[in-house]
Amino acid sequence: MTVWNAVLLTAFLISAVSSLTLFLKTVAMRDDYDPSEPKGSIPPAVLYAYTGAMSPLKKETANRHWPTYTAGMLYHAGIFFSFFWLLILATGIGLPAVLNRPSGVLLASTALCGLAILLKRAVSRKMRALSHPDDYLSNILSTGFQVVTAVTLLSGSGTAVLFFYASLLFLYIPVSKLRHAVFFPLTRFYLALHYGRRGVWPPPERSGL
Amino acid sequence: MGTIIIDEREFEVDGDGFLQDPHIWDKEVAQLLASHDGTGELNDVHWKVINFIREYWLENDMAPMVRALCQAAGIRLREVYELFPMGPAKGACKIAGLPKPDGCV
Amino acid sequence: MTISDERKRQGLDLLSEKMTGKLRTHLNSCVHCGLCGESCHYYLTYGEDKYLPGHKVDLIAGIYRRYHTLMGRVAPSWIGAHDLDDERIDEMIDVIYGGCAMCGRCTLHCSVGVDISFLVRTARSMLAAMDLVPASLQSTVDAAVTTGNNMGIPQKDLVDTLLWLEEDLHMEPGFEHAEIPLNRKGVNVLYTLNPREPKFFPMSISAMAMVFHAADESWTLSTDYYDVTNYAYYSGDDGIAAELVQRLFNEAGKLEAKTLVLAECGHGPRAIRWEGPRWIQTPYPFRALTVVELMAEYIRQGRITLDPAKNRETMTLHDPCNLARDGGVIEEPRFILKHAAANFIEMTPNRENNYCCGGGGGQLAMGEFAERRLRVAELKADQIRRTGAKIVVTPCHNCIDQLMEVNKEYQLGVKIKTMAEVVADALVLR
Ligand code: SF4
Ligand code: SF4
Repeated sequence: MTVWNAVLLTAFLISAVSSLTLFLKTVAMRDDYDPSEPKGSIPPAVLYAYTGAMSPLKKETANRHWPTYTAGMLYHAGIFFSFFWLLILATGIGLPAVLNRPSGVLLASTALCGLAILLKRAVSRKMRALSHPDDYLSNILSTGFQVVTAVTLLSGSGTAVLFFYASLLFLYIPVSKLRHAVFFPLTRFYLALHYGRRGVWPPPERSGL
Repeated sequence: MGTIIIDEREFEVDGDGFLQDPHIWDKEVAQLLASHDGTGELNDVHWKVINFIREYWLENDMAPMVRALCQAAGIRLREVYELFPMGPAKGACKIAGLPKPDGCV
Repeated sequence: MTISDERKRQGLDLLSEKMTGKLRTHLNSCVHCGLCGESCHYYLTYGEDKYLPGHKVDLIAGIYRRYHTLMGRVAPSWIGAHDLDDERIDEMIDVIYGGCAMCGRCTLHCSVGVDISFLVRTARSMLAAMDLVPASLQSTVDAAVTTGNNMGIPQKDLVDTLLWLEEDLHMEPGFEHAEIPLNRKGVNVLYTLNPREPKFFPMSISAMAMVFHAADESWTLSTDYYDVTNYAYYSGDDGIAAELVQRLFNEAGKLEAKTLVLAECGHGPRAIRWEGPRWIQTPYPFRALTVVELMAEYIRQGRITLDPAKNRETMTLHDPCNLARDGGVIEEPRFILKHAAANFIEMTPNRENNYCCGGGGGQLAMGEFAERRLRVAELKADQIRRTGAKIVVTPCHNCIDQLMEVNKEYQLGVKIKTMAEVVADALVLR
């Protein structure tokens, strides 16, 4: 194990423990006892919250914003793909070298999506009004992560820079808006409790009373 | 809240167009308000309703029930909404110079 | 506005008191993607940053970050953490009360799923704890607390009106024996009213009396406590909200009613049916449902028969946000109209995706922001116009009042009706 492996592992552990704490503390918090008689049923609503309700056809934030939405999805896919490569490279699991090039190119293009979103944030008046320094740095770290992974894969150079960069990203997650990664599943869950109990999710058969 | 100008006369009104100071009200003001909201020329029946609302309010500090108003003016319920297209609250009470009633009106 | 530190403390304490897993989750989820603007009728109308739903989230989430997170304490401006200062408070009053209908449309469409209207209400609760509810809204709340109904109707006036309506009902052929029973014990249905009905628009009471008569229902109205509204839901004051629910709860108990039926209203049923049991921390021993659901049941069970040919004019439906998107009463009104109207046309979008009429969120009661209320309704006016319908039916008296104004303002030339009126018009007596 190199020094950089150790740094990466430490950063990962710190990040994972704080994120998990954040998650568990929230889950463990008191929630209001809700004795209202349900109209709908909750389990199918929970399932729907993570599936059908996420469909871009159902959400105006997707279907009224196709370019941004598409860029956003690719950008997020790129982040997960970079984490996948980080795992491969850090654990020393060998993958056929023939995968490096296409993966690198893929990540370079998803990084471009991240860059486009960053530019939109910096240029559009509406987005600037809604943004804090944290929003820019969060994007830069996540986009940069993909760039560094791509460069590592394409150049076949050492992994030190990647591991260092990834460590920064790990450490930044729990203290920034990147923590939405921790809260996202919970958000969907709470929304499902709300809409499920009230019979709004999943949408009933149309006029099928 | 704001002012409205009808026929060169200026009125202080609340956000919903009810007179800010109900005491500046007189018959001329009523007619101006009525022309402004599309009620049009006030006839005798209009006046019966308006006068009743006005007197009721001066005495009780609230708008009368639509029932009382129908009975006082000797009209059927349906007619109130025909006489005052904006209804008894935002129509008749406003023209009678009352402040806006609370609730869903 | 200058607010004393003492009052600010009260606002902050309230935020801490209300901190549940759900609240904490939603306060941490917004990613500032800014895509929600196009789902909000305020932003669509004005295009101003302050109306972005994401910005409304940030108004309260920024305060949360400042007082409840590590980064907010050490590097507030980096993450947009914000003191609860006078400037922030002014901004909140302007936008949280004056620029949001709590219609929840943005919530359904948010990229992440942040419950934006829930956060807006929590922010309102903070403002209410600091005594900053806009005067007109507060006065409607106060009227309900002190007089037992939000219009301050004296009991005698209510009774006179109901007796008068009953007499009038007897002149309708087929309804010579119809009743408006008062304070009857042990009946099946305890019905409620929006005080606006007895005060100014009683046709819907007669209409419901006809429907109950046709269904051969055992029902009653209480003259002690009958108000279906709960403006404390909109002011944000949970203490008063609970008190109002408790009164209705007690009344249903006193009259030993089996079913509490909530009159045509959006926020009232939301407050009573959904939030109420949580506010008073007691499950209801009776069934609570909206009159729309009840009428759908009557049709399904064959208890009333309707002839759609009796309502021939083209008709469209406005879904009240709190009833549809946040109450699941979505297919019932359509089912009713299928049986009660010959020419029903949907507006687009509809159901849980409908746009607010503009009068929600207590906007109708807040004269302070009346100008905005009418301007943002242009969207709804266009929606209605595109259907070409002659009648707009909506099961909410608040929406009705707003739509009456919209009708005039945008010269739509339509009639606005309650669901009960449409059903009563279509009744076929056996
Ligand atoms: S709840 Fe409605 S009015 Fe408020 S921000 Fe969301 S869409 Fe806009
Ligand atoms: S869509 Fe949701 S996550 Fe995006 S800015 Fe709006 S509230 Fe925040």
